[in-house]
Amino acid sequence: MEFEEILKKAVLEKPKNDILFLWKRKVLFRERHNSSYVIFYYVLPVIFSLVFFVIYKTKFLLIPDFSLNLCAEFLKHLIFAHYHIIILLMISIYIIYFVFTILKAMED
Amino acid sequence: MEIDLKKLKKRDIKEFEKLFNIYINRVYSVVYRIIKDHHYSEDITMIVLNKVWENIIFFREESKLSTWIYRIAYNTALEFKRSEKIEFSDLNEDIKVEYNPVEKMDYEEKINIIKRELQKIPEKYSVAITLHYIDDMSYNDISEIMGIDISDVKNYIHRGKDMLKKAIERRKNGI
Repeated sequence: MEFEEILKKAVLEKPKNDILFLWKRKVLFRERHNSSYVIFYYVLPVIFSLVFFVIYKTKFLLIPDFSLNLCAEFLKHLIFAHYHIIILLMISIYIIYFVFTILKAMED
Repeated sequence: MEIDLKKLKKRDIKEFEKLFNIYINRVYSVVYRIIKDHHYSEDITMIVLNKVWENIIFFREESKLSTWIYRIAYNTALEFKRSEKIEFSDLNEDIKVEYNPVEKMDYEEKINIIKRELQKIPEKYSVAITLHYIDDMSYNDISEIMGIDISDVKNYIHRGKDMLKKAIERRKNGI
């Protein structure tokens, strides 16, 4: 009986490093840096910001017959009349997202 | 501790932490029986955790979750050993057995002797014994993990235990 008890204790080995912590760090890092994540959260906002910036600077829309379409007319109005707000909103969202990411990373 | 498989399949990291808290030392022990090196075993345990994380959606619940995890650990360690041709370095480093001159061996000393002996006996014996005693695993589950017959599992455990008992006897007799 004693032998069985000893065996139960003897077979269990313990790693020297905190593997769970290392694994978690690695997985979270990878999840945050896979291609779709980078495109969605880093590349797309930059592209949108640039597009809005170009529209703001040139006041030029690439859609033909823009005035004939009511919906497009509304969009045109929205973009030209409120481009400051839109750009500010996008920048704010971008900043909030970065702060959130940094805070989450620190928490992990 | 209850593990929610649905949460695991949704890759809930908290649930994985719960799962790995239960299995990390056990998986490591199985890997260490094959690799016999702490540093490599830690790396392979990490690989096993990653495989469980990535492949949990393919777990079809035909066997127990523990059996599935141990099978991944066993196969990963074997695969690594075959491909890397590891030089075993831990055999004399980590397990320091302080031999008492007196006849009576204390409990800790016996544990250390068995740990040391588990390194020396054939790998299949030590793996079968580890799986059997680490998780009270049935012969059937061990045969599934190691891909061998139940009769072989019984045989390996029986022979392995005999070898370990003899090692303690030899030590008692001062050989």
